[in-house]
Amino acid sequence: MKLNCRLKLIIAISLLVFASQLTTAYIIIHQSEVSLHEKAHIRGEELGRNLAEFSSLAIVSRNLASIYEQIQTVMKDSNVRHVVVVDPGHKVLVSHDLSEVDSTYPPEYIKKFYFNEKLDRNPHYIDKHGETIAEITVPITLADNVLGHVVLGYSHTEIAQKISSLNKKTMITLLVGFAGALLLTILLTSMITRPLMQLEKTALKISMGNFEIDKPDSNSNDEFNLLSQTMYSMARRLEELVYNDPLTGLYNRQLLNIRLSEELARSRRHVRPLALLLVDIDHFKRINDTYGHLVGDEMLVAITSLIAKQIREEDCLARFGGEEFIILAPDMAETNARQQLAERIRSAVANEQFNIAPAKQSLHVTISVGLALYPTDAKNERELIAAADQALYAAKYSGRNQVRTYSELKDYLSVP
Amino acid sequence: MKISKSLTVFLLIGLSYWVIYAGQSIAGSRGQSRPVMITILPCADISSTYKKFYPLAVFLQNEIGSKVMLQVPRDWDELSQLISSGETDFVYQPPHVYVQLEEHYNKSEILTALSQRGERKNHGLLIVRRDSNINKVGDLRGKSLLFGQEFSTIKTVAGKALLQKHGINYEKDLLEYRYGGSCEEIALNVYLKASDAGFVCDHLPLNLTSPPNKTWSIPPNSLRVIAETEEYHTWIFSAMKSADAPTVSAVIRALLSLHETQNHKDLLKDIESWGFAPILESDLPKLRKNFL
Repeated sequence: MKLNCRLKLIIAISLLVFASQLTTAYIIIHQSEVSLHEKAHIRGEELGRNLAEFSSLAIVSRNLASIYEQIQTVMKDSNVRHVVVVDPGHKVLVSHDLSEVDSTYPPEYIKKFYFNEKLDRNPHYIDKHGETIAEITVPITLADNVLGHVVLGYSHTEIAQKISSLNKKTMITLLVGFAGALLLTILLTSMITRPLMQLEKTALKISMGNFEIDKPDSNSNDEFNLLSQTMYSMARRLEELVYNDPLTGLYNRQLLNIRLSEELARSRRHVRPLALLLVDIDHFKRINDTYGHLVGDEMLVAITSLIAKQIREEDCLARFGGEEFIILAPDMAETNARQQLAERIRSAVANEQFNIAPAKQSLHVTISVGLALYPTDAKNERELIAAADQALYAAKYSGRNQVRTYSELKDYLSVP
Repeated sequence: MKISKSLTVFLLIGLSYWVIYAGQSIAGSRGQSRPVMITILPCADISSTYKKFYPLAVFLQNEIGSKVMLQVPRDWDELSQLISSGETDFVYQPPHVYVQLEEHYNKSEILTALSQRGERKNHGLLIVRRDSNINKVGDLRGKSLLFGQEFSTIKTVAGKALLQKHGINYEKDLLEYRYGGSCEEIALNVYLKASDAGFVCDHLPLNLTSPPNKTWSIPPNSLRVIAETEEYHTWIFSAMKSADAPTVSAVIRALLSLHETQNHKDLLKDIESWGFAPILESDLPKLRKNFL
């Protein structure tokens, strides 16, 4: 699967956020676990120390029953699972379970101790009920004599429950935080990549020959906007190169084809005539041969400039090739097209003296015009151009500097 | 004339207020008078004894309408001080203590606390561990022994008498002897081998096969009884000669009414008694004979 830039950014940022959240959560949980263990063990050791202190006097005064009473009090702590007072030989003197009295500690059910140095220094074991118990041993001393030990079993169940609850809360927070971060990432990434996506779309349009792109906002000065403006300028330049004749600046044949298709479609849609004028400069080869191509080129520019002044705004003037030009005049009937457009152009050119500097004298040229109309003379673009071409040929044949329509030619040739 | 009438009315109102105020002051001074003091001799340690008898004090306070306070003396000296200074109104004591302090008491207002079986007499039990090699009183030579509190008649006085009867001098023949606390504590110390033997009251079942109360934690059949002391009268509740007569009557009446309700039964269970009864005239000479 190919990932776009936005998706890559979203995935990368999300993974980064998730990893950092996960790390933070792990640190919090781990630290909490250590703190809870510490707290529990401090509490357990405190209970053990108090009992050891009490037991020293009780052992000396041979009042073990009072130790049992104290053990009962200690056992009220919900985390204490067993309390045993043993003599230096590990024989049980008093236990919360009196049936253990006189037995040797540890009992059979405590099979194996293990240590978890990361959590605390006390040995641990798993009891008969599967609970993890920390064994806290406090010596019973009196004037440096060890009279025995208090052994207190402190359950980790409450810690495990608290950790489990913390885990759940952390996971929920993590998920909510991640969802929030994901949304924010999508939002930010969209904001960042939107101009990039816009650029991509623009580039795609240009690559498909569509140069109709919006001018970027000139108020913003960020890198993306500068890139957009550059692309806009590039598009404009490219459009000129693609659709305009480099010499005259008129539409070239490629754009003429597009405009002709559009105008024919419009004419068809609105049931309006479309006039096509094919203009050719008479004896243009002579100018080239006599004055050179440089003068010829300047003549072309001057003539097209003059023609452009004679046409309407909605008309389209394009260079068809060499010294031939086409004018598309939408919504114009034959008479109007001939009198108000073709004849006017021909007359304007014929009456003009062109002062071309390299020629060092005024030049005079004429043009011939072939006129055809859609839909009366042709059914499509190709036929329309062909009809105008035939009319132009007729104009040339008839002595040049004149306008010929395909309709009169049709009558003359008896074309159906 | 008008002034004289007004003055009369004013004086009458003033007099009425004075009568009411004075009456209240008298009542108030009675209400604020010294509380009824009951001295309880300890059958266990002082705080346990106080806790055991506190519900009885609350009961009496509610019944007689006066504040009732408990005092638990640590020893004979403190008891003598309380009695000689008149700081107590009643004393709840074992029979041998009563006999020695009889001259201070109002002889017409004496109650005896019935045992948990409802009897006027009880006795002590000499217990050892089931696995002990002590089978008779004579085997106690060279062993350790726990009596009850020094004030206890059946666990201490009767216990010593039992030893004497079997030819044992507790001062010389025993390895050691100590004065213990409650029956449960003595039994537990014997079980825990803190002492080889001990005296307990007979309200504990003789075979000890089942726990006698909810606090009893010694495994069943782990103790056995090797001897019983002679029977003696149960504890005696007596009023001081100096005590206020109506208060004495109210307290005695309240005590005799005990064991009527479940609440009373719970309260009596705490003090290990079935109830209170007037002492029999015929018992007093017997008591004097035993302990004087």
